[in-house]
Amino acid sequence: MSDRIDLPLVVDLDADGPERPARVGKPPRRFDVLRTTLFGTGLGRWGTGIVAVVTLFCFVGPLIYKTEQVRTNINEILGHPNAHHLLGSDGNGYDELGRLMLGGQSALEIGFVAALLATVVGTVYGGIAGYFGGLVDGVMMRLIDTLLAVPSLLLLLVLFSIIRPNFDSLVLVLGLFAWLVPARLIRGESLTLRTREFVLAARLQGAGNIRIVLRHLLPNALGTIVVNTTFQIADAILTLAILGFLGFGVAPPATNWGTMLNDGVDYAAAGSWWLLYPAGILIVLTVVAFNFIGEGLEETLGART
Amino acid sequence: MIGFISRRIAQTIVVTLLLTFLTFLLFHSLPGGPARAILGRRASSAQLAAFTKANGLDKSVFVQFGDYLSRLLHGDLGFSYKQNQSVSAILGEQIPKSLVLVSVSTVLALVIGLSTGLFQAIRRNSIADHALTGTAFILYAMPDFFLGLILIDIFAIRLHLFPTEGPQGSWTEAFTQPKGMVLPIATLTLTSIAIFSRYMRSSALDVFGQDYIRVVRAKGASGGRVLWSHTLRNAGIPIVTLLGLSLPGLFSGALITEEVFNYPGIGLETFVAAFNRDYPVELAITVIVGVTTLVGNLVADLAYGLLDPRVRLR
Repeated sequence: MSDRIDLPLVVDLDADGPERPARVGKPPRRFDVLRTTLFGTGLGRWGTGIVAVVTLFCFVGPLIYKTEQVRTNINEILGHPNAHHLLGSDGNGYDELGRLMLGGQSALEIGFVAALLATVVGTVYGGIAGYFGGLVDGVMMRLIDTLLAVPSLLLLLVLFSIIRPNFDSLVLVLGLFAWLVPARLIRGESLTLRTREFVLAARLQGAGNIRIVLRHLLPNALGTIVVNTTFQIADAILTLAILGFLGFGVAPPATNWGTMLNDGVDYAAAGSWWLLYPAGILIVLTVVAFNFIGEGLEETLGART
Repeated sequence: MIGFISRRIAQTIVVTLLLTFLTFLLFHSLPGGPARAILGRRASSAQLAAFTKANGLDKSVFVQFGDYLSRLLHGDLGFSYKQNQSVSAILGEQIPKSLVLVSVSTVLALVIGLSTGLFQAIRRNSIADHALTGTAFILYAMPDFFLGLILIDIFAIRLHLFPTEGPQGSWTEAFTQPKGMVLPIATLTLTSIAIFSRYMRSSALDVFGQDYIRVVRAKGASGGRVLWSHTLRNAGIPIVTLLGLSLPGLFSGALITEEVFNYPGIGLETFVAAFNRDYPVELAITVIVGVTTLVGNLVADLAYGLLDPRVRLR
């Protein structure tokens, strides 16, 4: 008895390289699928490339391009781009290029952890609702309908007017707001999976609920989960930028791209383009790149979103 | 059909009640309790006790919620202690301004989005189609706040064509000072075009391949007739649902756009209220926006049933 679905992507794998011997009887390893998407096909490859460059820029960049990001320097306020400050300096005299790296670190870290949190919560919630069905499912899904009816930005503003935004609270709140969509997806997935033959077979063999969920439902919903996590990262980074732009960012000297954009607005009238465009472009690039990866994975994993 | 309508309406009422209760609960579990939140840090315990008693805050949360609901149904949205004004007076002034902004940009986005989508479907895989797809993708990926800033930087600061902020007075100023509305409307329109054009392109391509289009063609109908009375009508139906679903997104978009252009609508008020911890205003906005969204979805569903006989039969 196999607990694995024959994913349609197997065909794609071999269609790509005709010289590769056809695999017979052996299921593809998930790693192959992941590798093809991330490095092989169009959109996914672009996304991976951009994410890799941005990540290197944020985390390795500061080791090469060393700047002072704690003490302010009033002699260099709003300096134009020059040999010492490749992208000029901001209203506090911080080097803008170095600041973009610093801001990117928190954006990527918060985005990643918040997306993971949302996925875990959503998967558990959706899994329970879908697996048990009936009244449990009805009640749990009405709660999701309710929460989805309120624009999340509104609730985020309300919450951050009560609690102070910092790394932990941002991760927690962003994560706890984003679980609704994965919960819906996983619920749909487990609703259909639980009636499939291999699940019935497992149950006939005497497998309990926990074993069925862990060994049969979760592995088969993995494609959907992975794809959705990628989209969640993109959303979390964008929401973080919006919050930062609206003034609900981390406290200085820490920063993120949205906060930098908000600071840059004050000097836009003075023509300081370097405080506006680089941060904005980095936000757009990163968000688009994660969406590309998600779409690439969606295509090859044949996942539903 | 009647069963479908009554089920959907009942569902909406339940979800609306749940939403109102959850929001109410959120604001009543604020640190220090609602009396502290309203009177501030310096209030003495005697003042707090008096306020709690006068406003019935010592009753059980369900009784309080019942009171709140009955006040809501009588049109009393509460009182903003920060602004010393009733919430309905504040919002009554601002909602029309947001409605002007949102409705004009939605109509523009619909007209532009649907026509480019249809054009792309007719000329599919041409250079124009690819160029428009690329443009739509860039606009779709562009966050409202960044696009707004770019427009301000180019058209207000460098070219001096339009003011950097929206009209500040009553909602009629949107029409008497149209120059101030150009950039905010452009921002909201441009960021929502892509949703409609992408949808229209794929949906029209779908319809082109349907049997009934082939039958109409075979009967000798002109290209224009096929397009207008058959393709557009069939592909256009789900737009209603799309509009209903995009309501929360529209609100978020309006919030950001109003903040960028300092246009004093309900979005800017939400932002200011959050900053000033003006809880009664925040509570009222959450309830209003949530209920609007739910009712919008209900109307979209019902309209869908009316427009598409196939849904009714099911």
